[in-house]
Amino acid sequence: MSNSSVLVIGAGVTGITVAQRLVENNIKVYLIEKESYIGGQALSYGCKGVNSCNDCSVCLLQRKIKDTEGYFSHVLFKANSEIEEVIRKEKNFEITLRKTIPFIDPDKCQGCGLCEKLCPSSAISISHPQSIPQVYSLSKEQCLNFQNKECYICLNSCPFGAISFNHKVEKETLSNISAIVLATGFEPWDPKLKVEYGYGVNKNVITATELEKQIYIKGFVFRPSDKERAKKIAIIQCVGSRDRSTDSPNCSRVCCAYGMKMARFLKERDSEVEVSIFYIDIQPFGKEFTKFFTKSKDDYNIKYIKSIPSQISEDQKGKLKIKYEDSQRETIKEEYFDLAVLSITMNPDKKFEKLSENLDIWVKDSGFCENPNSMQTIKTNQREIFAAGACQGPKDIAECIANAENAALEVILFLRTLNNKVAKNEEQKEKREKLLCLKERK
Amino acid sequence: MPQRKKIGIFLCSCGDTISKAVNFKKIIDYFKSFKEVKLIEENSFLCKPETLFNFKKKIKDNNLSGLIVVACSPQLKGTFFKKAVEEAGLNFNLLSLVNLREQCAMVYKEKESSTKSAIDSIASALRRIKLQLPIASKTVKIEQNTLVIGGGIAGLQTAINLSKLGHLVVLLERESFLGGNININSVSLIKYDHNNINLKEVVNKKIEEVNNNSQIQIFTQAELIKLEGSVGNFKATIEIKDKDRKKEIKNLNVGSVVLATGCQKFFPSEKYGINLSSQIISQTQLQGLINSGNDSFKGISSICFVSGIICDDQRLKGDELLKQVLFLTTNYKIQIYIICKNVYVAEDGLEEIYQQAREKGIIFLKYDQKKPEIKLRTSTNKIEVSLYDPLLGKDFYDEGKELVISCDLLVLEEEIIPAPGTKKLSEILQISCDEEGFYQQKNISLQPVFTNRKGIFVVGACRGLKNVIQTLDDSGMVSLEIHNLLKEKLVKYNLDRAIVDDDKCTLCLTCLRTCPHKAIQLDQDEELNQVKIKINDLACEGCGICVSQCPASALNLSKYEDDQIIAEIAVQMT
Repeated sequence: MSNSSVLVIGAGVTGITVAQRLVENNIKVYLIEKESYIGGQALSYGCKGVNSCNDCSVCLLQRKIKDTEGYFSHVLFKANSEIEEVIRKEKNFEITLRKTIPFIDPDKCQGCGLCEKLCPSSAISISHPQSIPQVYSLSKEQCLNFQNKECYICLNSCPFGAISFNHKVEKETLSNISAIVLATGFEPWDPKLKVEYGYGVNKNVITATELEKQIYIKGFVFRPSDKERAKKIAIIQCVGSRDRSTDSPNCSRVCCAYGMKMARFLKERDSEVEVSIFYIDIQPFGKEFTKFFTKSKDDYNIKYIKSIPSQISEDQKGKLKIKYEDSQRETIKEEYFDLAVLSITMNPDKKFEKLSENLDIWVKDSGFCENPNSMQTIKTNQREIFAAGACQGPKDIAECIANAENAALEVILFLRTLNNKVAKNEEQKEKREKLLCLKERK
Repeated sequence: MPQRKKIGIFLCSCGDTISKAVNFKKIIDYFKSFKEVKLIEENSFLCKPETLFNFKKKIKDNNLSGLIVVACSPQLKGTFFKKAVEEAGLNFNLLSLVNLREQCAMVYKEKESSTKSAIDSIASALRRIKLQLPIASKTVKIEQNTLVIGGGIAGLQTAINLSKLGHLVVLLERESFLGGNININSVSLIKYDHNNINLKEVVNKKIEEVNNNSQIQIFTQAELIKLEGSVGNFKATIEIKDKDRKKEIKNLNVGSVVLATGCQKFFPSEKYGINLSSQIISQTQLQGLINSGNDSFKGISSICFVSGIICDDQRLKGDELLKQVLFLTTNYKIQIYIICKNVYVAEDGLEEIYQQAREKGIIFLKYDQKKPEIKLRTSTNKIEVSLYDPLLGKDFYDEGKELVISCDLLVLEEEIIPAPGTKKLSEILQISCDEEGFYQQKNISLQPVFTNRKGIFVVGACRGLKNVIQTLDDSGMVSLEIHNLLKEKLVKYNLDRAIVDDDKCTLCLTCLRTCPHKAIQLDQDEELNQVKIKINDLACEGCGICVSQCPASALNLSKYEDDQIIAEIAVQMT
């Protein structure tokens, strides 16, 4: 396998797992990522355990990121890069990357934090507190320089000369790529499309990731309108999934687990908070699900309401009026809540469509990658291209990792057949037969 | 009298995060006077490549024999510094990390108290490092073959993967045929996106592949009855039955064991309070009827499915149910009612099937809290199910009455439980099970496919409910884990595990009972003709439970010896 190398697209939890496994088996890996850090979407989730583990598997990502310490020097990591062109050359691919260097060059930035302290408009921050590599990024919206005011404080103070106000674009060509693994992951659905819930208009309607951010930054759940503690919270499932009006008919699989664990997390943190979950059908998950479900209903007093709200409106005091059908009393009910949390569905990455055209692979109606043989989920219509993780459809972190490991195995086996390295040494076989006393049976 | 150690102390200011809160000058002045301290210096970023290069060079130049790195949490940079120290030619146990950033600099408000605490921490590390000895490493030879128990799809796929990776596999199957649940009875059609796939064909292909593979040895009608040894060197005893039911015992040496024993369907008559009859059947029986052909549904005009009464978990069964009803409506003129709590759609393509089923006239009724009741009307020879579906609205029901569905055939959902023998096997292998009887205790996402014993893996439905696709992913994962474990014939490991002192040991067997990894065994010493405790270094994880439990203090962890710990604490006490 001397010359052949593998390209892994996307450095989220799936991508880094595939890269890790391939490196362990002495395969040259290019890992490309459109952001400047590894970890992907899963970085925005936090642990949901308070008294006991809630099995949310977020720590798996942290462990995977920590593991990178051991092998990452062997991975050819290309940050801020996207695929521009794909050319097939006999059995191999030749790929042109387009690298956009951000305002703060991650190769030069050492993470000293001087610019963050000096910036007058706090436009500079670390993209994610856990991101690796730890580099700062500059937000165009907040930076004074992009508002026609001259300010060069950060530029002049950076000891490494990492900051510039122009986006530099570089191109790079990777050749001799024998296999490609797609690990482009997902993107949260845009909740603004569900007009009835008024996300973006009603300040107290937030997404679940925003709720997590509140908890990790402020330490408690509050209403964004007046920053007061939220006492009554509604978690609304199936936003953007199983919904033909928004043209997204499929179940997003992971939200039930997420919403129910979130509810339990909120209750464990503060037992006085009232939590209601609006749902269509509960989809079971994990181990001992029946026990989990009964416990969350009986012990934690989480209200499960089998109904999806038709409308959310906000009054002047910021209270949310949620309109839904109360199936027990058979009336249309209007209930007031402090905060509405939307469990939004997973969509394929925006750039996946273009990428799939470039690579000439099939895509489902839902936009996710299609596999022609449903028994081998990681294969695509092209023999050399594999797909893993959430780019095939909604998957949770643990499933993504399992999928990624399976993909890595397939890639390893594929490269072996490519190099005719399937070991069929007769002598070796004989030795092994002796070892297992198989001969005597014959 | 051992030679006095030459100790070097490296302080890292971590930019200025540590030096801002702690007075480094004071620390340096304090420790300079110590005789053992050969070198003490301050660095700005010890983890940067250039400073690290100097760090290694200084270790060599000064001929240091003990190191204290005063920096951030060992959680963050522990392995990093250990690796650097090894590269500098020093044993990793001669390094002590003091966490000044998280435990001093970030804790105290005043510089004075944090400096005092820092001095205490470094002093105790110094006392301890004086006593710490290098830990040797050892190489052992391990077996590179694997025993796979269970010839279902999980076992077959694992065997195929492992053989492709170059390992020899022994496949055990309790029944006389391979294929497991899928070969006995299964949904004949599995529908994902646009393709109908016959699962049976897929499994038959895999069986053929396994049969033709010279690296896989298959034993049918065979069971594991005993497993000795530990990871890398298991000694498995298997019992094989002949055609004439004669038993044959075989011994195998294997490096790892994979459990792929799967699950089974079980009809809990007690929970339902109903016995199966010609009119009340289980989902498996229905599948049998579907498979047996055309005449099986003669004279049946309506079928009612009831699900969700016995448990809330509809995975696998819900998937099957939707496929079965869609098959029935497309092929026979039968009115179908589905009475359920939740419809299971959380799988690729299932929502589509659900939609199709509804368009074809299948009626879904969802009850909420009150469970439906089942009655057999002997006069009309029909089964009646009464339920309350809140979505239908008040007007639909008569005063105080419930909706009654009468049908010719009632199909009830089964429970999915671990395969027979799972418990027995878990006792033989001494691995833990969850409350429902599946292998692996809670939190299977954190360490998927692993068990509490190193070298024993679980894959597929025996570790929790899994569909075929997830099972295949599982077998891919386990194959790579095993390949990583067994790819080298010789394995090098550090001897930083528990050690037993035979002179002190009274053979009370407390350690044997408390070890969660089953790394401790009784060993027969042939020469002296006596038994003694043996700790398998590969299986031992160095957790220290046995050390703390031993009443005779006969056990020791070489990286945490008693005198070292006492020396470390003594400074803090004064």
